[in-house]
Amino acid sequence: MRYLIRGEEKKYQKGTVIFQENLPVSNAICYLVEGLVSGSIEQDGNILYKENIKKDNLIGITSNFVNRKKHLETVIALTDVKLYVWDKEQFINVVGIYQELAKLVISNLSRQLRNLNKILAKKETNNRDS
Amino acid sequence: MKESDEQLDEILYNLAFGDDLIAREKEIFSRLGKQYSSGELVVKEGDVSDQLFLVVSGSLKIVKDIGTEDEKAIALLTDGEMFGEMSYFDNLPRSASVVAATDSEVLVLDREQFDMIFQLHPKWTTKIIQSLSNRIYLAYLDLRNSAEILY
Repeated sequence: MRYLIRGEEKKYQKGTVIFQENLPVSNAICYLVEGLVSGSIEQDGNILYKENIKKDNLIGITSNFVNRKKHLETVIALTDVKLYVWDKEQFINVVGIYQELAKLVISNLSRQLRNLNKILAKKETNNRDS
Repeated sequence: MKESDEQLDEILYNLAFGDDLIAREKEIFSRLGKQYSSGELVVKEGDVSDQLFLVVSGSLKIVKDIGTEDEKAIALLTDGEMFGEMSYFDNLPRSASVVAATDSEVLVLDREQFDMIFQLHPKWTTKIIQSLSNRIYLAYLDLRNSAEILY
């Protein structure tokens, strides 16, 4: 991928917690080069939302772009993974240069938002029916 | 770059930096822009389209299940925000309706014009990412507020 520039490559073993919800934001936005991770949010130990994220997708965007100082999600390596990691400033520079990366990012976020909206709609229906 | 593209470029620049539209730019707005009255439907849930929209002024509501007893407003969009990107990238039907909450002005962009934004305005890419991130965060808050365990 020609847009994997200006950052650095990192490897994590299966089971590693890459981001932990409610811990300070690590200023890292990652492209998943190899492997599989899960992203989830919890409340009182219960999982409210969970998705598996495959290679050639990104993690860490929302936490870095929302004006909060803590991670919004927990991300765990489900396999050994290789990431390409940018800090926010590097990411903004690279995403401004490479249109295909920009489209991939927006596509990732759009899909996540669509999934969340579906879950919220399902939950509202459940609440109404119960 | 064609003159019309230069003018569109200027509009986008000013939107990105929060300046007011000037008279010459309004000429371009007349070509790409649409005005909606408060309460008017802009996008209908379930429709298929790859058009993208930029809010120039006013505010618009994203609404699920419009016109039914399940109707729910899930977000409010204001100046400089974009909508319609989910269908653009997924090629799926519109996931929600959009209704003008106040009298509003909106730029309607096709794929070619949208691609031009990427080429000319890196700052816009950041703005779109910011907007989507905020909407995801609001969805997370909604999930927490409802607190039903799904997994």
